[in-house]
Order: sequence, then C-alpha cells, then structure tokens
Amino acid sequence: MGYANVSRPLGFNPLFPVGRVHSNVVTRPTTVPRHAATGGNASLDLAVGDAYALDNAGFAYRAGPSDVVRGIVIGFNFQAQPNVMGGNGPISIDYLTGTSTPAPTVIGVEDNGAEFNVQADTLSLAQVGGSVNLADAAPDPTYRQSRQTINVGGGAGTQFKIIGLVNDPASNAYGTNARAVVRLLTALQG
Amino acid sequence: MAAITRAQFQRLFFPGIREVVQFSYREKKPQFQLFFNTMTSTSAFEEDYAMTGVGLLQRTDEETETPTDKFEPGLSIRYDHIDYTLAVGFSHQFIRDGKMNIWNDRSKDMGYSGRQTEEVLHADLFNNGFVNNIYDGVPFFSASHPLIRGGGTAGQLQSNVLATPSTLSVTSYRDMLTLARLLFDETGVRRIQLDMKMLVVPPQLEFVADEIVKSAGRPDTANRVDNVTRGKTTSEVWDYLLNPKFWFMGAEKSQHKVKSYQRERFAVRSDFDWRTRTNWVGCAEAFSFGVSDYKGWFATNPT
Repeated sequence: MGYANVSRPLGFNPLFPVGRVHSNVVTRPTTVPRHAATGGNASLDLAVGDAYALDNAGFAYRAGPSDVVRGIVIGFNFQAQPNVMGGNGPISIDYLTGTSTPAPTVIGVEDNGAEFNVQADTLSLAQVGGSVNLADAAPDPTYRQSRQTINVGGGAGTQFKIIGLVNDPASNAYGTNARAVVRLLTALQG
Repeated sequence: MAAITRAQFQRLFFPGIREVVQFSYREKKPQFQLFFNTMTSTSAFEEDYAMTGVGLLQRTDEETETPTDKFEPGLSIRYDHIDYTLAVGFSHQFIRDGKMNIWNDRSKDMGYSGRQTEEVLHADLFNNGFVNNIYDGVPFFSASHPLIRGGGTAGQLQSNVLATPSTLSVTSYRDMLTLARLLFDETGVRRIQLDMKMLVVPPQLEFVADEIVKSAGRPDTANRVDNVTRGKTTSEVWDYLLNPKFWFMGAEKSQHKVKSYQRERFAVRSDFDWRTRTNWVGCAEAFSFGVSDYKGWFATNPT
C-alpha cells in the first residue's frame, strides 16, 4: 500500500466505458428554479461529477439519496455565462448555480454499463457487489466540482452497484475513503 | 491642487544655505526583484490558469480494460494592473526667486518614492501573507491550501507553514527544508521537487540567519558539531519585512509563481499651468503583483 486513503470527494468520474463500446452520452435540459435534491443537500447547484435525476417535466437536477438517479454529469453545453455581459461575454458555463438562466443543457452519461470512480465513506471486500445510495453534498462553486460520494456504511440502497475497488495500489485501499468502481442501477439506458 | 509657494521655504530665498540634507541620503538597492518573478505586460490585466493532471496509474491485469482519467480544471488568477501617480508643483515666483534650485530635485525624489512604493507594496504580500486570502481562498501562508483534486476545503489540504510556528533556529530551519521536500502537486498524490534557494528574514534576524546558513559548526550546540545544512540556502535580508520574528524560505525562481508585472515603467513628465503659472512635475507607473501558486514559498509566524 502506498499513500493512505485521503478524503478527496470529486463526485462520479468516468473510469471504464461499457466494455469496448463508448458509453451512451445524452443531453438533458435544465430549468430554473431547479428541483431540489430529495433527501440531500439544499443547494440547487449542479457540477460536473454530480449524479442527476429528472423531474416530472424532464429537467435534470442534482440527485439526492432518495432520487432515482438517471445519469452522471460530464459537462455542459458550451455557452457563455448568462450573468456576464448579457450572455455575450468571454466566460463559459462550467457550473450551474441554482439561479443560472438561461439554464444550459447537461451532457451526461446515462448508461447502466458505464463504470465510475467515486469515493466511498468506507469500503471492504465483503461490500463489493452491494447496492448503495449516494451521499449528497453541495457542489463546490469555487472549484466547480462535485462533492458527492457513496454511502456504503449506511447500508443497502438502490442507486449504484459496487463493482470493486479502484485498482490504484499506490494511493487507494479498502477502508475509510476508499475509491470504488460503481455502476448506475436506474439509468434509462443499458 | 496647490503648488509649493515661497512662504513655506523662506530660507531658500536668502544666500547662505550650504546643503539641503534631506536629499543626500543613499537609496537602498532594489530588493523585491530577488523574490518575485518580474515580467512586463502589454494588457489591462494578466491572467494565469491552474489545472492539474491525472492521478497515479492503476494496476491493469490481463484482458482487463485500461481505466481512464482526466485533467481537472482549477482556478484563474488575475493580476489587475494598478496605477500609482504623484505630482509636485512650484509656483512661478518660487522658481524665479529661489536661491537653491530644489525644484530640480523633483524627478529624482519621485523616482526614489516610486521605487520605495514598489518595495513596500511587494513586501506586503509577505507581510500580510498570513492574513490576506489569495486565489485559493486561504492566505498565502496557510496550513490549509486546498488541492484541485483534493476535494475542496474539507478534503485533502496542504501546508506551506511550519506545523508549530517557530522562531528561526537550526531546528526550525531544517524543519522548513523538510516541509519543502514533502509537497504534492495539485493531484495530491504526486510529489514535486523544490530546490530551496533562500532564507528570507527581516533585518532583526539578519545575524541569526547568517549564523545558521554560514557557520561551519552548529551555533546551537556547545561542541559546535558540524552544521550539515550550511549553505543549503542563501540568507537574504528583506528590509521591508515588518514583523521582526516572521521568516520565509523560497525556492528557485523557476520553481515558484510569485509574480510581479510592470505595465508602465516609472516615468516623469513636466507641465506648466499658465493660468496659475505653476510648474508641475508628475510621475506615474503601473504594476501588479501576486501569487499564482503558493508552492515554492514557505513561512512561519512565531509570536
């Protein structure tokens, strides 16, 4: 074992595509005001790496532990920041605040076969194969990063399947803050 | 804006003054350039952008797929250039009647002030380095610098200060050298090489620093055992550091990102106002400075 596990929550990051086929990537619109995460943090922000759900009208919002997770945000469509120079300025959207208008489109991976690298609160070999929920946290507006993790210690869930430990022996091992490989369980595709 | 008139300097309108002593001091040599990467700019502002690379490689067994990773964007660091100006006027009558031409000293004197302004403000980056937040939301010298791939302020943090603030000694000097060896880059898992170049101290610590860096024997031992860290760094006195106990250590210039941009070189120009018959000499310069990366500088703030 190299470095001990350190808490570095960065949300869900694509690790393996589906076999040798590229993961299915789709776009989803968002709206303002955005739906709040169910059972999660009150923030309405959405960042790359966040899991998202779809509201009744089909708009994406950051998923909480009680939502049906449909995908993982891997980006936003390229458009100018609407709050800078009336949407014609030099700064592009790389993070969605709860009030960003016009709300940009989310680019997401919605594929039950895709695998993601995510930090767990804790992970043991015996917990591999289990189904768990995410642990929601407000995204970081400074770094424009997700702070979501998975809640393994909290018991069985319905959102993600644990495939294994991220095989990075120099900086990852079973135990607290282990990074796990997970798959979506409730994406629309796959 | 009023100019200088005769009544304020009556002595200068009689013969017999030998010397105006205030203008005879020797000026200090420029210092901040030793500690800052100095550059010129041709824009309204300069901007740096931080990002980080991938994590450590993952073990990949036969027939298993190669895992993917990505670069992570970081923060922007902006340097807005600020203008600094000053003007001094003399009445027409002053120049006409004066016996000593002190008005000719304006350019030289303002140049002195211009250089001192730069020195004081640049040193303030270090003087306020434990208080004023920089681009990453914490002070320049902090135990809590977040890393781009570190999970934010609640995640992996990195320090560029001694864990316990310590007065300058052989032991604390070595502790800081060790601290510099253990830094990670913004991934939090890749060590970086920093070659520490200089111990930077306020005037009050000049001789303590020299003793630590230049003595053949350890100055803190009775039998003067070999000083194995002799010459590890140079020792530099920065006359504009305000706290007599705070001390700093810096890496080679190529290994740190403490920057100073000169947008407009210090220049003087004169002007005559016919309405009031005032002779003006004004000066101006524009510069900016700051930190684009705390790595490469270390400090401690003992009480």
